[in-house]
Amino acid sequence: MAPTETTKAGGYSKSAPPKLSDVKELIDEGTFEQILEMDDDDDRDFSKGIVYGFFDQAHNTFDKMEAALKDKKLEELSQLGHFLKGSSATLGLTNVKDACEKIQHYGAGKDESGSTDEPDEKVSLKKIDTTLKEVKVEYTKVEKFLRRYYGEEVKEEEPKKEQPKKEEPKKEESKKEESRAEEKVKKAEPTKK
Amino acid sequence: MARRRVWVKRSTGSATLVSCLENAIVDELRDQVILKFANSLGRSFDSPDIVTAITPREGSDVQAYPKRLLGPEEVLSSVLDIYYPGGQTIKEALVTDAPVIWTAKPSPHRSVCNHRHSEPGEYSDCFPQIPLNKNAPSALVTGVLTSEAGPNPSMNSILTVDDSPLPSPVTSGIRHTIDSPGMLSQALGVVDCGVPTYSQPSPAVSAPTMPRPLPAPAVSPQARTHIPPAEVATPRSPHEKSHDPSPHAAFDGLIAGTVPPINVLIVEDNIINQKLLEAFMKRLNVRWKCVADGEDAVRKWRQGGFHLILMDIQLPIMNGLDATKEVRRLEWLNGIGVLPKTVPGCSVSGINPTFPPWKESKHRHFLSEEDALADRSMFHSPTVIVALTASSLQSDRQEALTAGCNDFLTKPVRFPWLKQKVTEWGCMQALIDVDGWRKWRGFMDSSPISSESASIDNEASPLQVGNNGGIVPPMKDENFSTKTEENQMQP
Repeated sequence: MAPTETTKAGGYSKSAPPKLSDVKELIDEGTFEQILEMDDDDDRDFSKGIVYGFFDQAHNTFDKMEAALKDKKLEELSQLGHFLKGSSATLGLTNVKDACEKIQHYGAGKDESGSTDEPDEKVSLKKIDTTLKEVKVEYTKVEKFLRRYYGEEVKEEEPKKEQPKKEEPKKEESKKEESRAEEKVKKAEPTKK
Repeated sequence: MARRRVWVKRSTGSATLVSCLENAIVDELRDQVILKFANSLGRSFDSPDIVTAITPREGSDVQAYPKRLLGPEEVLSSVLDIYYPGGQTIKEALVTDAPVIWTAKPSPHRSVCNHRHSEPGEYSDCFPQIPLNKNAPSALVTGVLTSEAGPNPSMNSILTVDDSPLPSPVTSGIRHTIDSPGMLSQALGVVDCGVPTYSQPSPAVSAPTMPRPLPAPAVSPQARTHIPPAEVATPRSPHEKSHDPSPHAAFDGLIAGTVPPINVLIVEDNIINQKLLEAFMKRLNVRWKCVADGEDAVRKWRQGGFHLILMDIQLPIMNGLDATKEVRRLEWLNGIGVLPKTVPGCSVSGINPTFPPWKESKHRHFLSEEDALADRSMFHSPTVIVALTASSLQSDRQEALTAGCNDFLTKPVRFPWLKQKVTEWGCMQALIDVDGWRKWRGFMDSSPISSESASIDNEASPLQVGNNGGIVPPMKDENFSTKTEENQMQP
């Protein structure tokens, strides 16, 4: 997995800064662009502040979600899902937002759309566990893209991101998922460029 | 023929003079009253329907001259001369108000209202509380006036307007609070890379005891409508462009030129959203304050001067719906309608000892100390509350509107959409106080406050907005001006 990352990062850094249009499936262009519009002409301090603030918020929230998942605190998970949903929606991070919303619903004892009750807490926790992994995968992609977007070299980010996952029993599976997802992105890249 | 000037007021409003012919009868006075109160009574009632009550002079013979409603055919001057020999004083203003017939629908405020206040219906035996404003405070603000049927009809009609085209197919069935102050503060700590100054992103700690008194002195009876000349005096055109760093801010003159600036309270717990909304506000060149939970929102609102609240629905401590209900309840209790309800002498204690004047014996309608707004002159009209949520469920909208929100925006909030809304709301504020708006537009002389105007201009410059988000309260009264400025400086 690590080599994949490196090559990918390298590939990006060699080329021009990534474009928003390259990641339509990750980021809603219109929403994100209106944040960029708030930037001054000569720098991107504002949007960068927002985006990097979101990174911290996301990491933080994921950590809290892990903890709450361990403690089986469904309600807290729901709140955390809602919380991150708000900011990810603001940034136009569609997939992250959708996953957060699912967590919110699961945590509230509902199905993923929030319409039907799910009485079994274990089922809800299990679903949250799965969704949390998915959302982290999605989030990682977004973060990588955005860091590159703001001209950052991404390699160092990887180990940091792995940390919370080490605590999970299904580490392998999630890793696989992640690499699969990244494979997909990688494959999709050439066609887009 | 000589004209006679008569003091009149609405039940909880301040007195104003209307002019009638010397031999005018009460019916003719009512015509004048309707014209005078064009925004409230005049909008929903015909002049024959309004009632006018006369109260005996203090110390006079109550038996001979009882407190009573005036008949339409009574000759005004003779009644006044009998009741008030030597001339009517401002304290003896005739109380004029909406007709008694009105449906006492349970107001939404009552759901959170455990405090004692009288049933609206109680007033009917003597004189009606202004049912229209009290019951549907938001209706007037939004211009969607639907008589006295309570908030819901007006809400519904607003609902049709607010169908947001924004893509936000989010559903949310639950309303939990988020108790993660740590998360917020952490976020606060880290998101400082871009934006240098923000107006108080942290929750307001304590409200000043005498918060920024809006001058709009009910003390000056002639000034019927008090719109903040201050906000109204924002030096848009000269300063705006020079202070605006970005071409995006160069607005099509719509916001910049015509809409009186408004004061916005942002209630949002997520720092990311907060920052973006703040950026929007800056771009719109309106003043704003930011708080992170419903309790702070209510606290902040109580300081007065806010025209618009952007209210996130799911909030820690007190959610947006409860905060909205609380604001509406307090507006209701404090009698905040389209007209300033402050009566001389009540602004310090917050409790009007003669509210309403003819009901002194009954105590139930009194505001409890904790519910009384510190300075009612800061509240010209019910605040426009706009719910913000990522949910697009119709039921959530309904819930928000039922709680007393006027409108609904889905996240992510689109700037053009917000801009349009702020324009609308700003225009509504202008409608509510035409005089203030005219003043702002320079159509009227604001002679008595020229000295204040200068300081206001400074306060209201875009730079100030960016730096402290200070609310510039309306100022009309010199007594208030210094305090106002002091309060300005408070963080």
